[in-house]
Amino acid sequence: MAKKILAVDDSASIRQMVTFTLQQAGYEVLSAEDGQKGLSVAQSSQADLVITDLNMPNMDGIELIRQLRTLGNYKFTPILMLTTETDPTKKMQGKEAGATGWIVKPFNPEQLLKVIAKVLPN
Amino acid sequence: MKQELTTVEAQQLLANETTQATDSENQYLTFQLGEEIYGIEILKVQEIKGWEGATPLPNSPKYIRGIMNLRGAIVPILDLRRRFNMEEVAFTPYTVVVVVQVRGRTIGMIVDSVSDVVNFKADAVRNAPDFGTSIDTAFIQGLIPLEDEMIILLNIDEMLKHSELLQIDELTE
Amino acid sequence: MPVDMSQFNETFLEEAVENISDLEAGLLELEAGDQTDLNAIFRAAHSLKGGASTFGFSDIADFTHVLETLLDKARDGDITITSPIVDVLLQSVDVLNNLVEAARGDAEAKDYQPCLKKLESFLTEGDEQQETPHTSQTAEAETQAHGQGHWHITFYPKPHFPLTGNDPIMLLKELKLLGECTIKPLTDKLPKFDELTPEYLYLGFDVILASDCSQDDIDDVFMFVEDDAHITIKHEEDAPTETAEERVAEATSAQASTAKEEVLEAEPFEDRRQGDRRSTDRRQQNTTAQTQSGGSLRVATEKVDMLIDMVGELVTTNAMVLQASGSLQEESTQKLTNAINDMNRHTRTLQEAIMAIRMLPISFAFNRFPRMIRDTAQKLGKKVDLITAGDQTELDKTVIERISDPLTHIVRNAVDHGIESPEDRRAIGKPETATVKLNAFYKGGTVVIEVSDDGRGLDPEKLLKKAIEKGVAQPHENYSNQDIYHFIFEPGFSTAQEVTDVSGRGVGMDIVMKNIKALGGSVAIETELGKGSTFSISLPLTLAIVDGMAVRVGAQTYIIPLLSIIESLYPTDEMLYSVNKEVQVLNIRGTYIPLLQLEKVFHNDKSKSTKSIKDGIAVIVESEDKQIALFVDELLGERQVVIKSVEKNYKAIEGISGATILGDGTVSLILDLPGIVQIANREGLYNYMPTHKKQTHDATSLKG
Repeated sequence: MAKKILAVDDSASIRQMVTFTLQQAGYEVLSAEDGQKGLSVAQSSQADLVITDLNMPNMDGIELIRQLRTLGNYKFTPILMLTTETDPTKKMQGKEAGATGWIVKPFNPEQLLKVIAKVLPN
Repeated sequence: MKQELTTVEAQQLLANETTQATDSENQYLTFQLGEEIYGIEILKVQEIKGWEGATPLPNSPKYIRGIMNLRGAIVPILDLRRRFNMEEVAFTPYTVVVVVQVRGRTIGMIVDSVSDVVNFKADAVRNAPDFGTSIDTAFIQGLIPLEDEMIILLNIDEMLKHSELLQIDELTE
Repeated sequence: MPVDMSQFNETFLEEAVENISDLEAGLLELEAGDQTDLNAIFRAAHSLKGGASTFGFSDIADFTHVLETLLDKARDGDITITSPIVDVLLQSVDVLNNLVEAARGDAEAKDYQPCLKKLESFLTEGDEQQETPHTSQTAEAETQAHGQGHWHITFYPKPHFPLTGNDPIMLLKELKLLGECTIKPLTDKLPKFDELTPEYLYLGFDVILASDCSQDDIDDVFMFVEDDAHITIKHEEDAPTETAEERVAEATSAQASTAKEEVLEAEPFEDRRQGDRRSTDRRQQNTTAQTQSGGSLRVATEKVDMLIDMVGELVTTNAMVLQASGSLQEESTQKLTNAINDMNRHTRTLQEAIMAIRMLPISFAFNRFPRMIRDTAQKLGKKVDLITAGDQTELDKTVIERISDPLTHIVRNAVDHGIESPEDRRAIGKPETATVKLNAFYKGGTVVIEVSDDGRGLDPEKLLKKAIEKGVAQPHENYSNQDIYHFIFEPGFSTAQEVTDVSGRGVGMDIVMKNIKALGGSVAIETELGKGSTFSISLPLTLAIVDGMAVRVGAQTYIIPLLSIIESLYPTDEMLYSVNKEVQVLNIRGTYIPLLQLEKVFHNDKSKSTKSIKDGIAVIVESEDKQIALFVDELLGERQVVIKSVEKNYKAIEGISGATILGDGTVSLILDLPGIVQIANREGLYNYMPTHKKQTHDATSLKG
């Protein structure tokens, strides 16, 4: 069965690129446009991996990670955050909130898949 | 009570009467087929159209007259006389198509003429004995005595099922 | 299959416009003195920058980077937004709009340097450093490549390690990709049983990695867990002697030196950005070329479907008006006639434009195949390369959705049954790696999707033998190779004998055929024994309209899809043969084609032809490599008709694919040729056919 990945980003183009890339690689993809929606998607459908942007309206990525880690079924789930080089502190905060790793923006599809391969058993 | 309405009169009748049903009463549209009066629940009737002919379909039973254009939708037309094996008569100006909505499908039925809309309490309906009407008793929901006449209530779902007009999967509902 | 990033350009540019307008709205509120969420303004810029840099719009990215930095400081309270700053920020909005337009090719890119300089002037110098990216640490580190010896790694995850979502096994596996590993578990940190927390990890790992990789390669493996584990990495000669303490020391100093490099790289980074700006013009042109003009809009499918329905009605009404106006002869109505002709043209254009909304590239269906083929081939121990072509061929969304499964089945079948094992391929001199090719292209008004493989091909003799065994074919019949190939689509042809993990239990190919037919499509098979097979699936571009020929037969008008029509001709005495009382055939240039009277196929008196055969017209149609001649009284002309479902209110009827409403409001049936061929087959029309030329004489003698 295909692994399920939840991609949370407020940017439609990034979501589209991530979704396309992952689907092409054979993953099943769920997506959401902010942390709040991401959280409810995650609650209604168990993802094997979560990729989240940090700067988002309603609920930001840090809070999403924190919330996910409080859920029993996301305790051990790999969570990758999308960060930019401009906010090293964000990366720290994300790690503290429970992120598994990060992908530095801008990234291309190859980089995305490479990082996923690091944390998601196939 | 034999009464023949023109298409326009029948359409007006339908438009005027549908709102007046009370809780305890059911409304029926009555129509003629030969000497018999039939009734169907008015809630199933969508509209009444004049008979303008239909396009015949390949390899279909004789009682399916074909299909017609109802404001862009393709609707099959059931000839009730043929369905009940009654003798064929020439179409008259009173011949109309009663368009019914059953389980999401729209189906037209050709009848001799529309007569009236009548209200009855549910307990006025008698069970149908096995007697000599032209039609299969399975299609009869009940009988309603009216003055010296009798209205035969059609079980339209049952009849359509047996006329290939409702799908097998709908039979189980 | 690499991802073509330019396909996201439209979405990004559309989104950019939204972000810029959010930015502007936020700034205007700010200027008006309203309480504004600086976060939202920052986010708009941040999101714009992220997208721009991802999709390669470096001018937008570079410019927004400075803007974002400024807004970030404002958000953190390091800078107070004054009205001169708002002015410049609003100028930035104009700059960004211009850059987006330029990227679309709708405008010339203006010089944004003055505005950029002003923005930069609000930033203090020292803060620039903070924006330095974590650039690669490779240059220095890679020079330390180690030719001999091995790496000795000790890795003690901190107890909470699993709760970070990391998995030590994944890391060890990643190390194994670098070279040969000998891994020993370290249990010295394991607490007493009653002190164990089940969710924690207390094991350590001692890894000897035989690899000439660099320290960086190993650092990369542990990139995410540096803070969540104690890691020592040490390069050793082949006889390891060093103590753990030394390793720690070395690892720490390696990290320290890495950190130093990051700081040192700050300056070259600035230089590079300057260089980039100088090459702005060239890049601008590239961007323009890549971007298609025009914006895009996301719309709910129902809305589009409603448009399609309505335009279908309009086409019908238009046809009615056209027909009614046909009788207008007077000069005074000339204006009306002209207007009606214009309306007719506009209606067609409108219809085409609306149908185009539903069109999607076939890549949406092709996307799943790289992974599927890889997995299937791996499971079967085969080697298969996939080539796709014509990914951008567009067809109706519904057609794409409904063809995906049948297509998957055919592709899987090709890998499973078509392609030989690598050993077999080698033995017959083929390359071990087989090729499956998916190709989509337009042909007439259809889309053809070809699935080709260079495998073993279909063997007609074997197929026929099996078809007879399965009762799908009759013994002693004369079948053409095409007939035989198509047996694979017959129900019950595949059997338990060939159940495999991949293709499943024989179900499938008949369903595949059924689904393709339901879409109004067909499949042709070309194959050469030992060389491979090609399955060509022909599909209509859309399910909503069809180009047809209106014909009159008796009192009925039928629509024959133009795509199935080969030719129309007046039958002559010389062409006509009666095989028996029921069956007549036409000899058309040496090929015998059964002549079908619709009235007989449809058992409908109203479609009884009013003409004798010599006065009527034979329309030669083709379906699945079979030809039949339909006898009609009159050709009424070509028209594009909107397909209406008969099934919706009634049921599917063999021989017709739907109905349409003619100009006069009456309903006409659209013929389904595969269905009619099937009826003809069942009624035995082909049994009496002289199939070989040598039988011509017999046929002639029957001439009646």
